[in-house]
Amino acid sequence: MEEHSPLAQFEIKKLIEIPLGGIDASFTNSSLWMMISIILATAFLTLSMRGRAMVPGRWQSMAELVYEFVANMLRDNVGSGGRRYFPFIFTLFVFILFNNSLGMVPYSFTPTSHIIVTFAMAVVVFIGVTIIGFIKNGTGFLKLFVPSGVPWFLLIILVPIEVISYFVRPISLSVRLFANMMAGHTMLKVFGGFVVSLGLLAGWAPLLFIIALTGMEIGIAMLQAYVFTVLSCLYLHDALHPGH
Amino acid sequence: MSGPRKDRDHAGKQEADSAPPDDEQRVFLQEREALKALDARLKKAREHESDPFGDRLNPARRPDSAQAMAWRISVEIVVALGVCGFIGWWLDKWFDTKPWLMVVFLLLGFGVGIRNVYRIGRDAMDEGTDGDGRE
Repeated sequence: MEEHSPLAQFEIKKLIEIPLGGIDASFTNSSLWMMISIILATAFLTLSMRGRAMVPGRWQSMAELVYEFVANMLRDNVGSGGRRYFPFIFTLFVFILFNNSLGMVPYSFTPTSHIIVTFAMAVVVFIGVTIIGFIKNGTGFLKLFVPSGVPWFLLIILVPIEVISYFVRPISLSVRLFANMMAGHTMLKVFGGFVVSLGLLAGWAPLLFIIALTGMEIGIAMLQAYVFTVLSCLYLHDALHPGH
Repeated sequence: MSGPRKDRDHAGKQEADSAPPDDEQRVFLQEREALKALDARLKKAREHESDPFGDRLNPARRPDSAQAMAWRISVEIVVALGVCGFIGWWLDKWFDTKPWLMVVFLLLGFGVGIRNVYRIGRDAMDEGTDGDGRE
């Protein structure tokens, strides 16, 4: 083990330096792993659907499973008019899923463990949803901030709360994904360090724990991809049907 | 295997001369029974059809899994408090009114967190009672 700090795995390394005006647009290990996950996701979906068989094979049914999963999620959470946004939601889900899952491969890098990556995605969702809300409902979208059936003196307190909670959304959305990824990977590394330092005598206990933790981390990788997309769906629902 | 043969033997003893049509009818009835059983199994399978990830990993169909719910709630409170506290602290620095705005915004942040958790709980309860409780 050459790196002893459990946080060393999150270090950004420049692979190709690209100074773009005053901006550092270098190609980093984070960009590399995002690209790998895009390439793998594209390859998985296009290659497995190449046959287009009526009775799907293993790969095709896996691709169809992902498609159906997202389609169901969109139908249940967005409802009417959500179908148009399927490509975006599907891309979001597959991108996060592949990034999270590839992070479980030893020696890999997890871009979603950086808050700037998850925050960028959350902000895209946030701005997009706000624009859609105003396009679809005009100023009626502002009804979202005024809960119905509440006396006026409570509105004075509730409206600021609703407005703040709307602007907190992209932050809670990004923090949730990033914190999960970072905490899990740090834990794995910390317990990995225990195994090495306790050696052959007592290292078995943390090793067993790591095995359980790895399984849980794989589950969390999928769960958090789901949570991120399902919340995006809920926000989209709010934008399409404000005023509950 | 022994069941049907025994049945046929028994029937053969009872009505020996009308054996061929009876046998045909019996096969027909047996097939119908089998088809009925298949129908029931198909029906059962159809109910689970739109569960692409099975029961365990199928949050799109049923309400959120407990773990997803727990993560949503805890992060909601912490982030609301953190963001509001930061806004208050920043405004305090701006207006030079040290702790007051931060105190106000922390209280507000607490309200936001509770409000969001309340909403999550309400939606989850709606989903629990009547299929799709969303509006």
